[in-house]
Formats: sequence, structure tokens, C-alpha cells
Amino acid sequence: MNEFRYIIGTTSEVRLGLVFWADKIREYTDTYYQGDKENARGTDFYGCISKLEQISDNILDKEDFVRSVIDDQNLLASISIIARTEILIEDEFTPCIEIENISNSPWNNIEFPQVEKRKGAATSLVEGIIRESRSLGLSDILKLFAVPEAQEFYQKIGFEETNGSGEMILSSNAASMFLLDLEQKRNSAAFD
Amino acid sequence: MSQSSKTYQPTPEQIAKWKRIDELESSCATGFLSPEEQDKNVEKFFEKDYIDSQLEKVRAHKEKLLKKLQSAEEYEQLLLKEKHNRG
Repeated sequence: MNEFRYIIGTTSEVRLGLVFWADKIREYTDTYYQGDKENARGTDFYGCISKLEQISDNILDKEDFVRSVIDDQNLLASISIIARTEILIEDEFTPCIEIENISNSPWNNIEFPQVEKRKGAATSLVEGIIRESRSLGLSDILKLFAVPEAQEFYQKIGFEETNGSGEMILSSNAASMFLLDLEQKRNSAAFD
Repeated sequence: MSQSSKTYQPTPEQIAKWKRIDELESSCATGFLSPEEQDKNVEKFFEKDYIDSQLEKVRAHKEKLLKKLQSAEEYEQLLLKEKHNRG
């Protein structure tokens, strides 16, 4: 199982990581899509380009809210912008963390094999957000809006859809189950 | 962790679930974006060199912060003057 280093905030490593993502996006567009972004339309890679632009637009105003993971090659593997918010549970507003944006690296998004590819980055990022929140004594309930293609991924790690809008919640219990599941995965040789 | 210390025996269901999570991970985008917004972002990305585009953004951000700093300094001086006047 691949291991990742969790990073809080926008460090130089994260900033340089995004510059490297941008270089890789241009390289992959030339190599796999004949230099034309239109040929990538509809792919996860196309979504990754859009996310990079969106995150880069927001990163200066939200630098304290950036969370990311770095892989064993010291490459930025996944990045997110989080926000502290509230959700209504049984008529009471409960604090929670919203994952506003999340994106995997271009090499983890592109369908073609890449030596840099490392599975588990986004899962590790979600794990880091839960552990950080718990260590600060804050709510470990997570909320996000998943695009339709992403919903199965979040369901598998324990998120539940709330109202059909794409809003999904990971309850405190589900977060505990998710962490336990990851511990079991780490303690098994199945993914070595 | 060494190989020998990995003692947990996952169920076939767990192995299948973990494999599926790994497969699905490339589609993990969050935050609603219409296809038009997505196209606009992609268009913007390819319009300019990334470093040039970020430099433009960071300079505008710096300008905004300098204005805020100036305003905070003016307020600080105003309060200090007021405090001094009150003896």
C-alpha cells in the first residue's frame, strides 16, 4: 500500500508541485491528445485540468485551507481546499468540514500508464483531513459535493448521499470505520 | 512496516472493495462545475503559461494585501493619536 505525507497549508513544496502539474498537463496533452485539449474532453484528465485552474485561482485567498499529500517520490499527489462549515442534523446545526475541491495529480488522472502513478492519494488525503480534525478536537464529519462519476468512490469509503444534489456526508461513525479499514489494509500484505 | 508484521487477513470482500476504491480514485472530483464552467477553466489554463498566469495573480494579491496593510497602519496611528490625546 502506498504511503503519503500529509501537508497542511500552502507550502513551497505544494506551490512547486502545482507548477509541475501544469508542466505535465501540457506534456500529456502533446503526447496523448495531439496537442489539442479538445481530444481530452470527457476524460478524468480534462477534469483535472479544470480543477488545477480552479484551485490555482483560489489558492492565494485560501492558502490556510489547502490540504495535500506528497508521495514517496516527493511529488504532489493530491490537493484539496477545505472549509469549516455546518450541516443540519436532526434540526441542529453541527460543525463539519467541507472538502470544496479535490484533485489528483495529472499522472494519477490520465488513463495512460505513467511511472509517477501512485494509487491511494485521494484516500490518504481524506484520511489526513479526518485525523487532523480529530487531533484538534474538531468535528470529524466531512461534507462534499461529488460529481456523478465520483459518487461511487466516496460511497465506497463511507460517504452517504443526502438529497440527490450530489451532497455527501461522512458521519463520525463512518469516519471511524474508514480509519479502521485503512489500518487493516496497512496491516495486511494484500496490496504490497 | 516489514512484511512479517503484516498479520491482518482481509476478507475477499475487503480486498474487492479496496481494489475498487483504487480503480475509482481517478474520478474523485468534488465541487459542482457545469460543463461550460469546466470548458472555461480548461480554456483559461491553455491561454497562458502557468507561471506567467500565477505571477499575475500573485501580484494582484500582493497589491490587495498592501492596501489592507496600509489601512491597518493608518488605523493603528489614528488610535495611538487618540490615546495620546486622552492622556
